[in-house]
Amino acid sequence: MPGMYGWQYAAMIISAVVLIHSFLINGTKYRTVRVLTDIAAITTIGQALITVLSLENLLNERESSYLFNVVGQGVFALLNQFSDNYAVYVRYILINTKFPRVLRIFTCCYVLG
Amino acid sequence: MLLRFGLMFATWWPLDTIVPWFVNLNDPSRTNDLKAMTIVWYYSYMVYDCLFTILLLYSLFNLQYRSTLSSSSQGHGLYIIAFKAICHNIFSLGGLYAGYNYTYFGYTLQNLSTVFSLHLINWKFEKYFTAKHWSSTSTKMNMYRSSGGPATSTTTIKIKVKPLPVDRARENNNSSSVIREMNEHSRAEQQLNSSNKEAALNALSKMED
Repeated sequence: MPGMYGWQYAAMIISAVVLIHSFLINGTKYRTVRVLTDIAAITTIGQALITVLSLENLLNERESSYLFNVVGQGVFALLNQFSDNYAVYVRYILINTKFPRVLRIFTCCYVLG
Repeated sequence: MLLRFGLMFATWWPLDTIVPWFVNLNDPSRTNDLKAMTIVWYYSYMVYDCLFTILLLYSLFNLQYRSTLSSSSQGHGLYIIAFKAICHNIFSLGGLYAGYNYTYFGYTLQNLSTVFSLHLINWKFEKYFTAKHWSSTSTKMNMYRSSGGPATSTTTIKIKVKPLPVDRARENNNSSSVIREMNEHSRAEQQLNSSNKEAALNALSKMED
């Protein structure tokens, strides 16, 4: 799938642009969405980099397996999905202000899980 | 059906986490099991996405139609949230489709869709439209004052002295928050007596229309 290699580089560039744009908009201010976006962008760059390294035979099979599965899937992809799901959860909680605390914790565990 | 798929998601991730403790999924004979788990993951995640969006839209519907504080601008804000939630869902589903169909490469696209949905959709692009809305309403307000409505001259001056904080109004896009913002300013609060306040509130409620 050679065309998909191009997407890996495109993903890195787009994520870098998003990071810069996020910094221009928010500066040094702390905002939940900003933090989640930055995490998602950084992990996307990492994931794309690992995919390129693993699939272009720059590493041996064992190294690329560990890198792709443990670091790529286990850390970067997981963090990315966490940030996405947490954003959905936060939006839902903001709308449902009378959500009971127990249900709130349960929903957070469910979403992050 | 929805509940069934929701439960499917609820059972999927513990399954996906715990099964490898007992079964060696790297065994070539387990290829079919892995494929089955991927299919479960794909459909259940898709339904999970839709489930949360539907719940969100349902809550928004309740807020808009059952709240006593509902107004046009509040409804406008809720529509924006609904629109963003639906867009977020579409992006997530697109990324999910890529992740499912393109092994290895697709994960990056899935991550990229998350970046897009988090950054572009949560970006407050609506503030430009809201600013336009407020400027048109303030024009109406000026016309209303000059024609001599129920708002007294004193009230008019107070509102002029303390113009509505447009930036904050953009963020808190409903009438109650605007009133709250006004109340925070003690100087204006002291100058307004109760009847003037009522007139100001009436004027604000007209601005919302």
